[in-house]
Amino acid sequence: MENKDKLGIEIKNIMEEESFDLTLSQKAVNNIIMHRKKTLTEKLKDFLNREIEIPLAPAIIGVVVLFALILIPKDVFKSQNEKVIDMGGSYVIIRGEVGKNEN
Amino acid sequence: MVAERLLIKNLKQGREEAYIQLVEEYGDKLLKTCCLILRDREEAEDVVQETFIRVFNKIDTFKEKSGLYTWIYAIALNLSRDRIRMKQDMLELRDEWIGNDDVESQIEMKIDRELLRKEIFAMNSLYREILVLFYFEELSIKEISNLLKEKEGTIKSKLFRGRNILKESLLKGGR
Repeated sequence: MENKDKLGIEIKNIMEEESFDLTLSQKAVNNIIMHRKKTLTEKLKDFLNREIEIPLAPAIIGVVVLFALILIPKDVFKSQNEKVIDMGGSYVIIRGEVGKNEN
Repeated sequence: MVAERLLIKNLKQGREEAYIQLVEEYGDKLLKTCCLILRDREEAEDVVQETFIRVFNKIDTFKEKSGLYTWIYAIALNLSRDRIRMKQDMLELRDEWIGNDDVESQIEMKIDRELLRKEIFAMNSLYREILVLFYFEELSIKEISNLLKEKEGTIKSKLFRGRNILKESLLKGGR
């Protein structure tokens, strides 16, 4: 067979010499491993650890609005002071401005 | 075979250690073969990277009809051929060698190794690919035929002609 003759042996030897010290670079290995198929747990972890970019101005406005809704009392814009008078079955509702003398 | 089946199973499950094992076992060997065919280390490394990435992406579709290395190898060889085609390095067989089939008997002379080395890496990639698979990888004609999806007769013909190109060059003392 051709691979056992003198020429075949020399061809093989030359190819082995030429490729003797060839190894994959660490950069290539890292790049390959980076593309591997990930397990479900890893995919979930990646998703949870993902960095999300939020623009600063809308974020601040959003936080301020949220605080406003939580902290400001609901009736803060009502300037009237209501008073209900029971007149024997009927009710009279007196509305006046806050702080005014109600005599 | 048991070890290979376990490796395939672990690859399909996405286990990192399996991927590392695959690259460690086959990476360097693939690089050497691709480098011998392509004659360019950087390009060979690109091909190897792309090969493994494709293997990772398609591992779920691997039916285990052939061995794992055979499958990986076939991908690498196809990618190498694509690279060669891009460089338009492939000539028609008939354009390369117009020689005498009777040079077999004339090659008992001492072989000039440096000339042989030069001629191996100067020859058409079509022939060098077969020489690499046959001599360096020590694959049989049948195995090469299955890998490259070519008829055994075609492989034998290319091998025969590749050898004769080298012999002619040795006899003439270079191109």
